[in-house]
Amino acid sequence: MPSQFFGLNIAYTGLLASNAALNTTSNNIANVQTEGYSRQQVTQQAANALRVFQTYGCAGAGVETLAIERIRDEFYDFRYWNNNGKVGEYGQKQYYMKQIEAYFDDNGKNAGFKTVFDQLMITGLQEWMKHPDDTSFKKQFVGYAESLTEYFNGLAGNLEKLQKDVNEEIKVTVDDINSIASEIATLNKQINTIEMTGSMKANELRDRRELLLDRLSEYVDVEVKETAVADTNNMDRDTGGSRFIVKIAGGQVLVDGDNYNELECVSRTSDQKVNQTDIDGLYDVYWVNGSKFNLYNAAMGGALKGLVDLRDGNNGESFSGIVTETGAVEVDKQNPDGTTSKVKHDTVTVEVGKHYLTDLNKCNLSDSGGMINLGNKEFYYDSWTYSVSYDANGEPVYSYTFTLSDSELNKSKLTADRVGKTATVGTSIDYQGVPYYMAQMNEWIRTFSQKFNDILGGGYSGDVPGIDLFAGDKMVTEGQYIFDKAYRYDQFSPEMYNEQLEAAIENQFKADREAAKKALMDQGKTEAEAEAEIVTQEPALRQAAEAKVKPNFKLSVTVGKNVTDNDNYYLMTAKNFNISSTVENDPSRLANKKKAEDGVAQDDLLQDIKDLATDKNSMSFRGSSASEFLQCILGDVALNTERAETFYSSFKDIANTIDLQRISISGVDEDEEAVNLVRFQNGYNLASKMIQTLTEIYDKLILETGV
Amino acid sequence: MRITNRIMQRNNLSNINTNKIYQDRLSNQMSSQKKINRPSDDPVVAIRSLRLRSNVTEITQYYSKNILDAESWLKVTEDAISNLAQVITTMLARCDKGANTYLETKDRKIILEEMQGLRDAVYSTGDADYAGRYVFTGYRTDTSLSFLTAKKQNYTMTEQLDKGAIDSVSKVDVSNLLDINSTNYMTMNVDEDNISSVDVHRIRLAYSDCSDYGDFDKLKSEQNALIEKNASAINQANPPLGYQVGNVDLNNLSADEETAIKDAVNQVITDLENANPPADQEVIDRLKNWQDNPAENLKDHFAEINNKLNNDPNAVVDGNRVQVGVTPPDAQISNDIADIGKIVSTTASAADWDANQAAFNDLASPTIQFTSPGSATFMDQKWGGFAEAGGYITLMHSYETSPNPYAYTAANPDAIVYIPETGEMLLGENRYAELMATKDSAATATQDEGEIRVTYEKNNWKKGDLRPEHYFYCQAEKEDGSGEYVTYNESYLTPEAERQVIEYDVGYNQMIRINSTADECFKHDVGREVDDIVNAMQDVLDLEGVKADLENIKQSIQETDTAALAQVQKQLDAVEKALTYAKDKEQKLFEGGLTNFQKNLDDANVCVTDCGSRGSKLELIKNRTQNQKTTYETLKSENEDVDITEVAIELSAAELTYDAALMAAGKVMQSTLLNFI
Repeated sequence: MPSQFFGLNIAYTGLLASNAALNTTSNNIANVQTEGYSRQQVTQQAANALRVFQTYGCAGAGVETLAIERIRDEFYDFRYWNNNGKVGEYGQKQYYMKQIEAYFDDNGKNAGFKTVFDQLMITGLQEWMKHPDDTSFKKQFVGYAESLTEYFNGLAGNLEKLQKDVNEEIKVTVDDINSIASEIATLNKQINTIEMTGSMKANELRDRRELLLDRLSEYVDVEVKETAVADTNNMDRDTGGSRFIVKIAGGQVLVDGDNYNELECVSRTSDQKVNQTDIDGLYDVYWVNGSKFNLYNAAMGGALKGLVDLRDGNNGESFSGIVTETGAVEVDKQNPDGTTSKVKHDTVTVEVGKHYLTDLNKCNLSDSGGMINLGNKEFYYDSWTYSVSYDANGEPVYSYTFTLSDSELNKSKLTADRVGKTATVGTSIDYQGVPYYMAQMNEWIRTFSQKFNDILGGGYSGDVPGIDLFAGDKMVTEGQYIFDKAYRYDQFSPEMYNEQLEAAIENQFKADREAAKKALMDQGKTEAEAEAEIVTQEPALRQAAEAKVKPNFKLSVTVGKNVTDNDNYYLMTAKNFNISSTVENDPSRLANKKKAEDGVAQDDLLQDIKDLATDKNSMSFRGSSASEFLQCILGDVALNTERAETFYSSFKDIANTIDLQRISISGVDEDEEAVNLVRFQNGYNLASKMIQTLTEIYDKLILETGV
Repeated sequence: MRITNRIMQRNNLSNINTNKIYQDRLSNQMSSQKKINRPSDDPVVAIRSLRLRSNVTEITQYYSKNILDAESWLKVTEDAISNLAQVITTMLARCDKGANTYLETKDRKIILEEMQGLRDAVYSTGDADYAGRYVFTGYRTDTSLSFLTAKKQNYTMTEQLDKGAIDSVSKVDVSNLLDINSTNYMTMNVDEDNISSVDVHRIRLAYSDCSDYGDFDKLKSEQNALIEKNASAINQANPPLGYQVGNVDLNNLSADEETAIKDAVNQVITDLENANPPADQEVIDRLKNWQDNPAENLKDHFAEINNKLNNDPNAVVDGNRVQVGVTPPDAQISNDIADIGKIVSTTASAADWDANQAAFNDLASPTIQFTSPGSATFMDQKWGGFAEAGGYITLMHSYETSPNPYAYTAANPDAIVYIPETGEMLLGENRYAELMATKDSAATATQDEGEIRVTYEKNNWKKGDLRPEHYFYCQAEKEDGSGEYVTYNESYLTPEAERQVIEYDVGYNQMIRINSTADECFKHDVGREVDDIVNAMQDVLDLEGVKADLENIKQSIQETDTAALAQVQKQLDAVEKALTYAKDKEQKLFEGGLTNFQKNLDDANVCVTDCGSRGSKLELIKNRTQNQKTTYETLKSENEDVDITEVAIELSAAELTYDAALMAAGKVMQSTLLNFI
């Protein structure tokens, strides 16, 4: 038989339980608008019954409040984070692509390429064709040509600005990742401190941690693992502690328990430039401990991936080839005191076959030195030489020979075992980012200028031979590049190769012959005797000269640091594209006819110029004519933007759906809480009533019963 | 599923937002009238609109600028040629009058002046310009058609003619009739038999007053002096001969002459045999056997020996020159003019002779090129260079009288005579026959083997002369005084000759020729024909003047002075005869003029018609271009412009949806269970 006062005790547990539930309800209602808050619920159970050894069995002992727990399904969190990476990536892409789109757009309101080009090649040219020798119409044409060059300058400037913005945003993102990492590490510690003291759950802290992960997952892909900390002495004991690990960018550990790894952005030096069109100071990201954080990791996601794609996306067209040869070359070195001395530099020759490398117009390799990776070893290079030779079948063989930097930069020595290894510069990023659009513009500009200038150069104005219209400004020094015939890589041909090869063999032969003759005379022979003997040796000498010259003979141009001559069209870019200053000052120098003696109204040359705009055979850009440049580029831009927007909105929708599912489980519902309020209030009221009832009973029992 | 208030709110919010986006797009379309705001709204529309906009720009350029310019140009051309046709019509009327009515002296004078005025009008019409650019001068729109002022500038031009260009000209030899006046008539003896008229074949070149090769006359007189000098030396050495070297007739040597030659030759043989070292035995042998050769080959025979001797270093004492030979009967000049059997020791003379010959060779003399019948290649014959330098062409002046160039040509069937003053090439009968035999071969489609090319020079240009660079292949001295030359129209000599056609783009792949070139309508022969007629009329006028003078003299002579009367009568008879010839020539020229001007008028009319047909073609193109322009503008509009009704309706619908969404949200958010407990 239980104690007479047992009921009071039971009622008391009821009061306690209702109180806890009411408080929880209150908390839920208070947090109804709190971001990331999960509704909480009191778990309770009937207290262990008292065995009273009566016939009716045990007596219930009231209620026991076990815990206040949040209602949350982690499965939805993981799904949300996975999806959120895509939201972040395409959010950035659609934001920046819209800007690029606005730069390229030509809608009649802002004068884009098509408007400017039509002005030049329709309005300007047609009027000029009607007055071929009239300087005022030539001047008008030159004015339109200037609009074209300015259009490209402006576009290149805008894209550079955009690349700079993206670069800065990468830094901001990395900083934010660091701060999130530090907060998560702190939270981990706090959570463990609370949870290891018993069976309590740090509901609010966990909510906050997940909220931080929501943010982190937008920046970069995350992978989260929480494992319980086991007591090594008693494996079965629940310690309440847990190890919370956050990995980002394809499994690189960011947070591990209460430790976290910090990232830092380091600007590239001018010796580390990758693309010709890159601005200075692009960031590479490192872990603070010094190891490289791989920005180009294929598994990477999130806003960071979007930004990297935009900043460095080259449509997969990065430099790569097979090393065929290593060697050395003597280079003039400028000493600080103004003298020059000869220094030996290593060279490495890489054979290439990709279309964007064999055609130098399409190439986007740094023109001021950079880094080359030879079979996973990195070397700095100062300059490179683009070369073409022809095999026995007349098929061209293309190669790039890199002149590596001196030992100040290259700590490790180039060894012959690099031959046969893969050489790469930069990373292949299969996205059409800033470098891609820049390279496309450069290709068009170079091809167009070459063709255009060639037409003009083959003609006359009056009886004065024509000169180039399009030129490139020198960026460091004053003046413009003068593109010499010897460096016209676009005109390299088997005929040119054979012609120059013959000449080189002849030179070698002459030098060898002279040397051999001198050697004979040094042996005491008279000049006549020596000459007679040399004549008999001539065929052998010639053969030797051919054997010496032929294997290494190539047509080539060189680009890079410390290269003084070699002015070639590769140095012409959208940024420095300009009108020849000579023509600008004197537009009458523009040629309009093919023969000097023809009359002033002859416009046969202008017909060729007209064809250049619309005839694919005259000039082909991506299989279209020159005037269709914008169609090609705008196609890329518009489709990329559209894709980014579509993906963004669809991933955003998915995020929303997942979030709704999360809310569906964890969210506070006002009606529900109202019901709870009534329920728990009733519980409390009843418990109170019970105590009152018992009080009456005790009153009866103590004061009235048997007194 | 558990739906919380938050979920409902978010769903509502999201729906409202979707509606807003839609409404925003529609209101953007409404206010911009464009379907798309950014290319990514619809890449296909964006890219298509680039192309269409380009098409509209291009077609607008054609329609509103190029076609208008082409029309104006054609109009200017057409007007100028119509003027020309009028001028030529007037000329025809004058020729008709000249050919078909009896002309008094005063009528003749009026017509003469009229013709000269009309001639100037023809070429000034050709200097028409459009916006400061000459319209008939092909690509050289900055150069006038004719010289605007008199000018000294050297041109060497090649006229490309055919045998149709060979006509015949008659020349009246009036002897000394024009020199008679009232003071000298008694001493002027006129022989009526000397008054004659000859007809010769000629090529009338495009220009008169051509280059007479400045030094030609001087060189010619030097040459004559040298011949004279040699001839007198020979005659002095051979007194028995008693004749001038130049007159030896090889076909009819007298016994004395033959002996003299034999003696002279033997003298040479002795000299050569005694020379140390002896001369070439072959030469000596040939000299010994000179008589074995037929007389007509003697000249060649000696010429050959002379060459050998002159090239044999052993044959002659240093500085001297052996000349063996005779002067041919026609006094043709060549370097076998010489002494017979003399070693001429006039060193200076020999050197002078060489220098003289070299100077002749240096003269850029006229040439005629043509294809001889049966020849497979074009221009394999060339009648170039002056006879004095070993060529075929004889330069004679129009003022030479004994004989005059026409009479000379008539008398010499192999002659080609060039008269720079009148710009005529006279052809002897044989040469004429040879040229007339040329004809175009059907085998070679691209070449004109019937072509005859005449190359000559001209330095002096009068105002109104047509500039040769608009017509012929020519080399002209640059005007900057550098002494350098420009070559014009090189392609005219090749089968690839192309006319200087100026074409404007007036549509997609449509060009229209806007210019007519001078060689189609402004031709040299209009002016040249007028010149011929004017000259012939002037001749008649001059003779009529003499006739009037003589009649006056006759009136003033005493009837008793029979000798004077007889003299004057004789002169009058001669003048009458000359007048008959001259009027006959005048008449023929007027008739020729009728034909020739009619031909030019036809050419001008063809040009006008041509301009007209190009004008109507342009009109068609203009209409078509206008249609195309409308089509492209429609296409462009359809592609990028919105249908306003459609958008308006959609916008109203969107507004309705938006309101509904707002209302739903309001309802949902209004109350919870808490409101009811």
